[in-house]
Amino acid sequence: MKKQLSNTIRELRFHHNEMTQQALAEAVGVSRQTIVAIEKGKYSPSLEVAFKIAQLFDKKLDDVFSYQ
Amino acid sequence: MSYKELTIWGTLGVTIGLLIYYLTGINSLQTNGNLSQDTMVSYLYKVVITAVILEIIMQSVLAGIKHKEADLGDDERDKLIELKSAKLGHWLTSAIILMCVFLATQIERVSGRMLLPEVSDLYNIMHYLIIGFLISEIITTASKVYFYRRDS
Repeated sequence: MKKQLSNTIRELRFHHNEMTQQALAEAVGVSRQTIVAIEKGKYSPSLEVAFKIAQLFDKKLDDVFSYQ
Repeated sequence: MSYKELTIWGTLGVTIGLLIYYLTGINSLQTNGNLSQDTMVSYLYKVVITAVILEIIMQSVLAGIKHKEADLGDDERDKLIELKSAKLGHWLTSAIILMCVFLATQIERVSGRMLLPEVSDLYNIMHYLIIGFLISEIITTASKVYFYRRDS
């Protein structure tokens, strides 16, 4: 079976005062549409953006992204 | 819809409009019996100037409406989509140029049997190149729309 990259960004945003996709996008320097695509698992971000997202939520990379 | 997507839709609309404008203009010149190398070139200049003006107006209006997003520039996903579409555009343009080169090598066989008998073979090849470039641009831009829609 083909492995897929999934993430917990939606959940993490919820636990960070329901942070909006726009606020997250501005914090990591991408567009809101890119955050939408990442959340849905339709776009795999670069390592740089992935680390920025993880650091923003004060999590390790594999707490945010998983490949299974 | 994001600023980026809106500009792509705008460019797609402008390019389709230009292809129609070019083809109907050449057809109208041919029907009226006014088609010559001079009228063709002057019509081509008209099409190019119209294209530039329409693109500037479209970009300015969209940048005015969505000025915040317009200042941001491209992010990594935009660049990736741009690259994928540019690759497709490169292949299409190469194919069109190769077809025209092939046509040029067979010029003695096809001479006088081209789409526009009123003008020289060279102008006929130029006509095919213009149509080809516009179709290539339409397909390239449509592929960008597809990539943006697919991932959103």
